[in-house]
Amino acid sequence: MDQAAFRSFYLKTAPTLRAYIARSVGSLHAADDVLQDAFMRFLAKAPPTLSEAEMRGYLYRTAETLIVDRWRQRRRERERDEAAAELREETVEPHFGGDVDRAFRGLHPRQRSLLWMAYVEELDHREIAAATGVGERSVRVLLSRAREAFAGILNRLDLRPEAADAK
Amino acid sequence: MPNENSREDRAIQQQVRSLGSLPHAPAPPDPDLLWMRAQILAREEAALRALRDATLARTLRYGAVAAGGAWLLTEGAGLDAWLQATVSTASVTTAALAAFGAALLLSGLVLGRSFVVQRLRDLGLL
Repeated sequence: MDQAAFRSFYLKTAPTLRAYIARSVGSLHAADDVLQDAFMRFLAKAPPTLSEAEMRGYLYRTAETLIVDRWRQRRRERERDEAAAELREETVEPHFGGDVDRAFRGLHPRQRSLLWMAYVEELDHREIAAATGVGERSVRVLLSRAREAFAGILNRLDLRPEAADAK
Repeated sequence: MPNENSREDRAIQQQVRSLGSLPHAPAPPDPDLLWMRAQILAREEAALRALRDATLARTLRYGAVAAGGAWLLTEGAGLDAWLQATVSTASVTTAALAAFGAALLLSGLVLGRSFVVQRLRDLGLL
């Protein structure tokens, strides 16, 4: 991939990926760090033969790993030194403190990325299958479970989807 | 897909879509800067790899010379004689210590596996 191709791919991918990370970690500042790390890893390690959907999937998987690593690192810091960790603890920025944001953060990372690819990136099942490396039929099932999980969390937060839809 | 188009599912899809934009956010980081940073890092890694390879090759060369010198000092003793001499001088204590050390290292690796994996991830080696 040359610089122009990367630029074009980045401009197409970065805004929604950045929103996905920001919604997942609750901070735009942290999202920019993770976004840069994800693209750096992509440039350093992604095989050059990937299709665009696969490249997108690679980025989402990398971002998921980085988000989980970040969370683990914070947890270790907290365990090591509770007082100091409190100072360093990432707080959710006001823009990401809404109920839907909280519900989204409550999902398993895999479910988050599936819902995101399907409804924000608007990839079809075949493209999601290529991006995530699971079968097309499995995508249907996993997506259905992810929707159920999201609805469950919204219900627990007393934000039933129909009610929210009607707002 | 069952129920994909039910009212509830459409509402869920709408909720997820609503998260897709960040109207309050400034522009994302500049792709050209990322590209440049990646190029610099790639060059640094290539230089480090070359240095590692050169160091390994030099170590092997010096090792071969040293081994040759040691063999000459034994007045050309065969491998069998060398092995016998080594085995006879190794005491039971040394063997026990080695076994204990190996067990300790192995258990450390098993217990600290997640920590080691995490450190390797932090270093970008995984």
